[in-house]
Amino acid sequence: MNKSKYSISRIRITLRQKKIERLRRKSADKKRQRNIRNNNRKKSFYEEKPKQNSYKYTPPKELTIKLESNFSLIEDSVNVLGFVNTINKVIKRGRNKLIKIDLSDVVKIDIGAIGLLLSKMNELSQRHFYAFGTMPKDATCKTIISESGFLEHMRDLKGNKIETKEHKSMMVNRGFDKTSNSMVGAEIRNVVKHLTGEENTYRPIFSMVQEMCANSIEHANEKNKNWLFSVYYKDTETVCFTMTDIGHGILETLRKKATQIVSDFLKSDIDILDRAFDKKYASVTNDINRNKGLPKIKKIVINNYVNNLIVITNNVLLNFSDESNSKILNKKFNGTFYYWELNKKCIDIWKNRSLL
Amino acid sequence: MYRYMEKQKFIIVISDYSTSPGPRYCYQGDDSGEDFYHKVLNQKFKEAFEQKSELEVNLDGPDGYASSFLDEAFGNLIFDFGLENVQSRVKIVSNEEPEWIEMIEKETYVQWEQRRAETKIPKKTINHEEWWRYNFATNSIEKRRWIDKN
Repeated sequence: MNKSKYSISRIRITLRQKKIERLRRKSADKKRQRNIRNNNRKKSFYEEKPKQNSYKYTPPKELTIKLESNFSLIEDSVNVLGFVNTINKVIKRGRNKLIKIDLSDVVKIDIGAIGLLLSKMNELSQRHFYAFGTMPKDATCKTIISESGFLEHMRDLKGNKIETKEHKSMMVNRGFDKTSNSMVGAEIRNVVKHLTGEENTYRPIFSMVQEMCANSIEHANEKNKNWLFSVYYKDTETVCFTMTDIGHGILETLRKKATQIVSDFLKSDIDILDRAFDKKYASVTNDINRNKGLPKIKKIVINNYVNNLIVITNNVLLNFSDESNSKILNKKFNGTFYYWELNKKCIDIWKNRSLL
Repeated sequence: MYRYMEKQKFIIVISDYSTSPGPRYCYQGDDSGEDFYHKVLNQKFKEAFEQKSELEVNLDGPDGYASSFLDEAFGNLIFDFGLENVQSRVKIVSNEEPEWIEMIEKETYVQWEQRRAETKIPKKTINHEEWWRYNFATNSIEKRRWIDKN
């Protein structure tokens, strides 16, 4: 075999070049870190160093996540999703097991955001993080949180249940890897009684929740199945529902089977999500008998059996009642969030529909 | 002399099985379509089939349905007995939500018959007891555990 007499030197040259490149990158990285420290940039979360004490035991590092003033999913979804992403980062990093969620500056909050907050608290507890928080200083927000029933799912720092006034503002069902059909059915009967005075079933919402829940369990990350269904009794005439699933999200699940949306590459993510509800794409399971759930949800909305359905998934907010309010978000949400409302009029439409 | 004799009719009322039917598979939650098929529908259909009677399945009563519950239950029936046998024997009653009849008869039946033709076996999320299936070669029904948990 003819070996080039330069072959060894070439290898050496390559190795040397790679080493220089490594050193250059390391130096640039150090410089960047130094600049960040010197500029004193604000972070969305900051760590508190544990206090030194005489014992050998070192307490876990506490991490504070401060929420901005407008914590309303409908009005400022980007801010709320920013919070969700911060929690995701913290979970992924796994360094800080003690998380403080600081709501003191919040002046605006809605049931969608409370639902997401509760769902993230649920996830933190599932992943063995210890999360605690402060209430907003703003009196209205404080009332909304305490009347939402959110505190019924929390404990005080001694581990005792927080005492709240008797009310039925919010009811929450949460689960990890199974649906909870009988509890959902019972709560829907309560809602119908609240709105009409008669205890009765309301099939459209039961179907919607079952479809959403089943999707969450089937398509969510195997390690991270987590769904949360909440019912908020806004007033005597309106009841709000949220369903949150922490998983991949509808668009990400569709993209797993990339070939089917290749032809739609010119369409926006809003259109692609809308088309998923129109059964334009096959199920990722490849079974021809699948993919009936999302179209069923859309049919219920079109028939006005529920009002104001909003879906947030990945980088899209899809508003079914007002398409002009649908938008692409600059923050990504790994999961799917649904919000909708029910009033007596919807129930009357359902009761009086033509059965032909 | 001809005398009209009404054949025995088999009836399944789903609300007797569950007031809140669940998801598609057993692993996803209680009272699933897979569970309903193996515990109720397969056996009742076999009895109706043997006696050449009609099987009426009444969907009225429960809190509601996920489409996947009905698809899995009736789909498995098609897979095990074939479209012709099921269509000629099963009558679905759904006065509260007639749209389910349309979905089952126009979509589920056709799609699962196609699955049967392509022998794309259904998913079983637990090991079920032996169940009935129509053998098209011998024109008879046999009881066996046809598919293990997969």
